[in-house]
Amino acid sequence: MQSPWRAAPRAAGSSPLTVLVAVVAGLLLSFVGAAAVLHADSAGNAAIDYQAGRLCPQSVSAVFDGGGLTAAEAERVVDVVGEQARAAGAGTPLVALYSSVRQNDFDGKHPWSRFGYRDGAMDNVTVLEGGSRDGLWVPQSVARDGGITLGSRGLGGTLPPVTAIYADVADPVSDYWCAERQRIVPNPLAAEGATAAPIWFPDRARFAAYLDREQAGGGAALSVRFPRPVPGTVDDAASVVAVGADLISRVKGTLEAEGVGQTVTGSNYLAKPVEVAGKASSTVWSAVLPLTVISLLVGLAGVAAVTGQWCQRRQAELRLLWARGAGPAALGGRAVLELAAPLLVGAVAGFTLARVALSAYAPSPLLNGGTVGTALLLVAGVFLASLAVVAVVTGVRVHRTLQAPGGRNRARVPRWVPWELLAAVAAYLTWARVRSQPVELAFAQPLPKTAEAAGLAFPLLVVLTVALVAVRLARWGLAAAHRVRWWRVPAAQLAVRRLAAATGSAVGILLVGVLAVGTLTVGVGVADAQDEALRTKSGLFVGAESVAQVPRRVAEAGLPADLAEHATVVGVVKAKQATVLLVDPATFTRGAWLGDRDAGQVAAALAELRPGQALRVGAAPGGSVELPWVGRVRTVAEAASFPLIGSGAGYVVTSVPDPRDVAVWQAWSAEPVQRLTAGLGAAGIDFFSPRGRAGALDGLPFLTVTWTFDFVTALGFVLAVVAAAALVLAVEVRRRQNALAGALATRMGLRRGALVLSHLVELGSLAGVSVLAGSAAGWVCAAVAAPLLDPSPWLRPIASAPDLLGLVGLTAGAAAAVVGLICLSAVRSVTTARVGELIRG
Amino acid sequence: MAELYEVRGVGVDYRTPAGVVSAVRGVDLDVPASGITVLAGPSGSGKSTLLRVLGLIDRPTAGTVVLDGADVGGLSHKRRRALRRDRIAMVFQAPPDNLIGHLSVGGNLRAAAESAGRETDLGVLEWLGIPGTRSWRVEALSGGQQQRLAFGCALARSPSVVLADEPTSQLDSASALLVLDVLTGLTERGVPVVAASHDSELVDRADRVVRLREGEVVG
Repeated sequence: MQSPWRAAPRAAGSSPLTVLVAVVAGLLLSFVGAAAVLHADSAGNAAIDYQAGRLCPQSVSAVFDGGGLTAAEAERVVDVVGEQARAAGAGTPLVALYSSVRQNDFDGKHPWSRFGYRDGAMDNVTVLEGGSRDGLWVPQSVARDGGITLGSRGLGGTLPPVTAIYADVADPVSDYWCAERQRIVPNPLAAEGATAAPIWFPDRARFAAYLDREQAGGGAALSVRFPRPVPGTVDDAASVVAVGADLISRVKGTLEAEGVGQTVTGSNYLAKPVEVAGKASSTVWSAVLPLTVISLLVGLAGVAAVTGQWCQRRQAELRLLWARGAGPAALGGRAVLELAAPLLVGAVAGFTLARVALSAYAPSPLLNGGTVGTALLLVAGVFLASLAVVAVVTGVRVHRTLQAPGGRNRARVPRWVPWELLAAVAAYLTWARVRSQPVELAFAQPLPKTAEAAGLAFPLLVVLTVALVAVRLARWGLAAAHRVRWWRVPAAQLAVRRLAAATGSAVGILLVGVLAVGTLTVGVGVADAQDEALRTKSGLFVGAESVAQVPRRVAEAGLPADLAEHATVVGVVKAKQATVLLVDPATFTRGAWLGDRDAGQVAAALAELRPGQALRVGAAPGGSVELPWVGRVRTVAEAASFPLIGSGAGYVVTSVPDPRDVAVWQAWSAEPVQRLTAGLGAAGIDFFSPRGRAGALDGLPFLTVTWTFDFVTALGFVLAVVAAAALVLAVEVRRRQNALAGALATRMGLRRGALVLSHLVELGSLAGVSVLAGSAAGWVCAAVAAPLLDPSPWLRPIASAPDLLGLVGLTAGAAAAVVGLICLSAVRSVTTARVGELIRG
Repeated sequence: MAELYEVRGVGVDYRTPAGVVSAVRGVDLDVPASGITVLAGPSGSGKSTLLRVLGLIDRPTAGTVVLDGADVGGLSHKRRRALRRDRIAMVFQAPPDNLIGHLSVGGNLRAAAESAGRETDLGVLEWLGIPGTRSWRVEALSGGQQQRLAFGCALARSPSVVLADEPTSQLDSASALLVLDVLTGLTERGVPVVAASHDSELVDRADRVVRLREGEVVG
């Protein structure tokens, strides 16, 4: 290798600005590529985390359930599961056995009760009396009903003595009990004998002896589980599923061979979440791919611009080496050798940034094995692509300027391609696709079926179209700018001339600027719209922040004062065609989910309802209507949607002829479910089936769209940084030229204020058009796309674009700050150049 | 005397926004393989264009250029590059344009020699009148020293001909004289020199002067 090539890496140091820009270009390229891979993988892990969070931790691994088992059969199943679990490496099983609910004799009284055994049960209840672990532990409700005390012996003295009375386990249950909730939390509102809290045996052997002796109720119910922490990544979860599937297969095989396989079922509840998480990851990946590709192309265009600037600076050397016989390819290699190091430094920094800042932009900080390697491969590919761009740009430039000057300048050909029309056609096609196949959940589909690249790319293509149109108009305008005679406003004239003199960089900055602001706006708009839609839909779906079923007497007596501060009682009558809600106008707005409705107006509307009058909701028929259990009512007001009813058909009344006819009463609270149940418990109010708004709807489809557009926002931010850096660079490369021109102009009488204003107009017009066009495009796109991307349009209200004024204001403020700083720098270069530069010039 | 170049009917046209401009028209010229040949004429007469044609940098739009008996006008880019590498040394008008700024003085000589596959002879620095500058940065040399080094680099490539475009136009008279001495020295070492110039000192030292006006040979 000849010395100019050998010395090339060191030569880079002669231009710190080029090195800096190359590092930044490499950093952004690498960040975008790596972040796309890491973000998509992280989305899968976030999907696992979200779904596993909705899953009982004791149902994460394989679960075996059986019913009607004799003591011997149950013991055999437990032994087989234990043996196979050891062989499959599934961990230690947690065994639970229950008899059915029946009236068991305790000293002549026959309280409804069931017996049970569960490994560790006695460690997970609150003892009220006694506590010795060699006898039965009786729940307080059964002890109260049966008059059972410490030392009592049931079933004619055949049972061990009662050694503890424990507090009934109540909702919401702890993780230890979540899988057993149906068997251990009695429903105080259910019919007598339907449910009962279990009386715990101290060990499995004595429970088996009881089963053998009593032949109780057709055998025992068995549950064997393998509690383990919820896996954080798709890989971990897939591994748990694989172990579980292996275990289920082994156990079923063994038990079927012994003839007891039919009575036991094996379940792998994590299998579906793993499948869905994989789909979530691929959906996010395919959705972010178009913008990632666009961003990478912008980055490579940046590398091309840096190379072009390098060629200008090294023009003399290139000509010398070319005159000595070096060809375009060799000179391309010369450029690569000089720019490779800064690009590599940038690539390493970009990859490191993408990895370190993962939690700042991705939905989960965890990654699957191999993802970092994949991201590294992509970064390496992008790095090689940037080197290829450097080589090709240099080679082409050498060929065009030295080897075949005067030939047809094919570099100008792209300017004549109607890119904006192509982008517009692509945007139209994706829009048509989303219109014909909305991003709607099919029945039992965990993810938006058509949330594919085409659907989610539509807003971005519109933003790209607007950016390209802005570029085209700017190019035409600047080409015609030489006709402008604005010398009455010297600042404007100077600004226009400066822009026209640097048309290439001006339209480049405009393209990246509009793309940046547009993607930021559309990203934030759609992501916020989905978040808000999920919040509102789940609020309307549940009716309140939290809900629990309560006895009718609560409605009659009213809630205690402390509960009434944040809760209300609502009667629910479900009829064939409509849902009827009986509400208390005085307290309804304190507990119900109202979204953005005005509580005062809702309260006033409800307060105006007289007996026999109803508020009509959604498509329910109006006028005089006969409602079951409510009688004939006349609708006097209407609402498009209402808590719990949603936008379905329903009526709201404030009184009924006989409250006893109302089947279900619920306490609705504006506070989380824990606070509602604690309040009800403290007030001695029986309750059942409490649930909160947060977990009411499966939010994964919404989250998938949100994660996608969160990444769009992140890329928009990156593009904004690129635009700001390009603006700085554009001013810096012309610093001396502008400084001289400015110094001359001020010597010729241009006021300093006009000089400052000319820079403000020049830079401000680029930033202003970027913010205006980008915000408008982003806002309109978000408004159009948000409803189309709503995965559950049947649950009203449909997602709509949120108020983005704040974001637009923030963007404009940031753009103004950047413009101000660069303008200050440009003006300073003029003032400091006034003497020295003129003399040297 | 053997002819190095035989130029027949050469014309060079440029496309400009105002239309096609003929920089050189119907030039017939023989360049001997020794001594100094000067292409003289006022600015815009086409001397630099003709020099670039001889240096295989520009292609003529008409006519033929024969170098050492071979027609080089229709050669491929690759063949022309090979000829430039092996046979021709070009010295441009501005001294910094002939040197690689980030290499030392010795580094520039080495780079020039390597480009033609020759060994580096650093002793040439003494002959150029800039001894002891081997490790200096190029910027540390004066304009005249840089231009002399440029001819040193040309010599280091052992070319068949050195083509110099206005080699003294950016130098003061004292520096220009030193450069002319180097040119004379080159011819004494058997390397023919073709220079485009209107420097009367150079014209006086020329073995042959070709006068151009408005793209045509006038004497």
